[in-house]
Amino acid sequence: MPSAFRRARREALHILIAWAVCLVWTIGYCAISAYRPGDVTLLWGMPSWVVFGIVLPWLSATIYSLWFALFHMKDGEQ
Amino acid sequence: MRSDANAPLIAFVCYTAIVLGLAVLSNYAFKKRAFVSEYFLGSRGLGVIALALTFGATSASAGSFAGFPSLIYAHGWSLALWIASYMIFPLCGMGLLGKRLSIVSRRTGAITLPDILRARFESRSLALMSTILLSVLLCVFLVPQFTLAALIMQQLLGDSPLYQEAALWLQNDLPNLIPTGTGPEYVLGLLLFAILVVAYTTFGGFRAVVWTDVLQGFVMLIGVLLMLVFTLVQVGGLRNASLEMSSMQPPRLGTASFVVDSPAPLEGIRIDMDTWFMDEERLFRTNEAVLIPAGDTESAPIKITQIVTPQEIASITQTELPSLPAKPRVGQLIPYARGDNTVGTYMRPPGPSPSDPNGFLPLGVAVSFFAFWALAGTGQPGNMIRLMAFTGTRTLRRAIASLAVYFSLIYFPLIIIFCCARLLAPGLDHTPDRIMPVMAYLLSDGAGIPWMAGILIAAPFAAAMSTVDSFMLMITSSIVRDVYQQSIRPEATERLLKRLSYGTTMLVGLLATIGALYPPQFLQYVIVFTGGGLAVAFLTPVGLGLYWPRFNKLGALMSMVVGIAVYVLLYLIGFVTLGNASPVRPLELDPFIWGLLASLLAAWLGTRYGRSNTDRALEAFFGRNDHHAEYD
Repeated sequence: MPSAFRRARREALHILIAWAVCLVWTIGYCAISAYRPGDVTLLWGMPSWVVFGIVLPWLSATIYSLWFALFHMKDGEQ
Repeated sequence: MRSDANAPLIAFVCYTAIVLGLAVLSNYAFKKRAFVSEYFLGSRGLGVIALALTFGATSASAGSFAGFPSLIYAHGWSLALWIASYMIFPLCGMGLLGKRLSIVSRRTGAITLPDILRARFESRSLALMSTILLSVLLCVFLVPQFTLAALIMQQLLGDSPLYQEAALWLQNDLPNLIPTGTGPEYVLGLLLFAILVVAYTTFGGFRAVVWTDVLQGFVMLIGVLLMLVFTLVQVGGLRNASLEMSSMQPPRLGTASFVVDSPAPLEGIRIDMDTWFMDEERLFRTNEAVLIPAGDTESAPIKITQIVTPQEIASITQTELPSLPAKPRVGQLIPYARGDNTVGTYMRPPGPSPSDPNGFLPLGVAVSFFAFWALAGTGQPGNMIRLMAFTGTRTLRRAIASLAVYFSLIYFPLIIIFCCARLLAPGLDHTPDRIMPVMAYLLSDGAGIPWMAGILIAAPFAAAMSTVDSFMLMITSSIVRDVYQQSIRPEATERLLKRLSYGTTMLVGLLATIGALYPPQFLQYVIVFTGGGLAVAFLTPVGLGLYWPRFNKLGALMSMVVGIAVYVLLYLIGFVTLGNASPVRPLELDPFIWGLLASLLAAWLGTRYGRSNTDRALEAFFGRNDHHAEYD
């Protein structure tokens, strides 16, 4: 059974990895799609690069945050 | 023309009454508790909603409701990428340090950030240095926040007849209060804001600040969601708005003076701000009011915007333009450095820019901002303090979940609203900072509910207050707790500390007000500079201090000094070589990233060559078994 400190450190590491995944997804997709010259297509009323590069990662990050906070993160000492 | 110019004033008065009421309640609550812990940390009693909203409201400063909307209006959909790391900010900002900060601050009895550093590294010099850095940077940060707040108040209430009368009284009866370069409306806004914030912060302490943050958090959320609905209805849906936006070209910015043939009468000749006019088949909008003084035949030059998109010109000139009492004399018109004569530039990054040929958001800058919002937000002392004040980890977990939803409901709708604002309120490009109140009035009038403007524009002043109050209290805690109680007079009585805290909070408010009477140039740069500087100074020492048992006093000192030195150096080089407040950005990366990397490197070097920590400090932070295991 890991100690409270080690558990907290592991959780912090997971959060940093989540941040890095969001960075790679958002910046990576936008670098390839949004900065490229050409016509902008619309999806759900927005430029499609916003939907795939911002809205979808944003939704995923929010769902991950909810799961992480409500189900994965353990209570420490009160 | 607004249908109810007093609506924002009525909203402001109601809001003020509620805020002061909360301060009185808070003051009553802390009479029964130990003063220092209650006044600066609310006796560590924050629940889920309080923690989530105080964290969210403090993070969303005046910039979120004044600067951010104006950037969206000016640069379009690029701002979705600029702000994108808010998708993960609640998890980073609260989750990275929250659990550990809460636990060790309880174990060590720490009330301030320097308290934490003192307990971890057993170093008075480190604590003192962090106190000085914290106080200086926060004081610098407060001045532009007060200035922005005064500008917001002026924009929100400036059309109210009562406000205009009060400004006139100030000008006639107390002219010495109005420094050159400002006006009575600005000074009145500043005084109203300062008196209210100083009163409730001084009187109510941390608990009042948190309660008002909760109120302000709800006001912001309701305001944004109402604006989103009204906006989408009035533009005929998002798809329609995006299609029109994709055909837009950036306008041209310039100045114009207005002339008449015979001298102006005694009352002068006035043309309202935001008036449309044609000159040589070109369509313009005034971005400032025109005044030809009595006896003169020409006005001073004012800012104007020329619309160049054919569809926009056709749509605006469908209705008859007003006839003007003076003839325009249009000066030089400056095309955008990036985006001129280009359609679709508002639809994708880097976005148009009046001054930068690389556009608003080159890719490197986008990477910088993705790191900046999430990591610099985590390193803000104002946020860290809140992570020492909640009731337990269960509260933290639920607050992270609440804030993740809250920020999604605030920031993404703001992008949609102010992209659509280009259609609803075109031609404000020379003074885009006004777009928030302009949209509030426009949407309320368009929906046939003019009083709603009061609720909508309560959001920006709520945002300004919720940031300023927290920072004032942090400066007070640094001075009273970290300098006076810890270093000068540890045996000071509760009564003395209470008086000292009240006096210091008032003094800090007074100094910030005086500073804002002479508003600094480059407001946004000062805010970004101090925000980044605070994060560079504190993120590494606090973060590694909480998670790395080997990290020692030398490592902490070096990380703080080297990080802030690199950060300031890049700004100084920019100031000297570029001649303005922009820093140099090697590889297009923000000085914050270089400062943070330098700080981490210095922390590693200092830890390698510095002395080991004592068992006592390590046990308080890591427990007996863990720190031995780390060293072995």
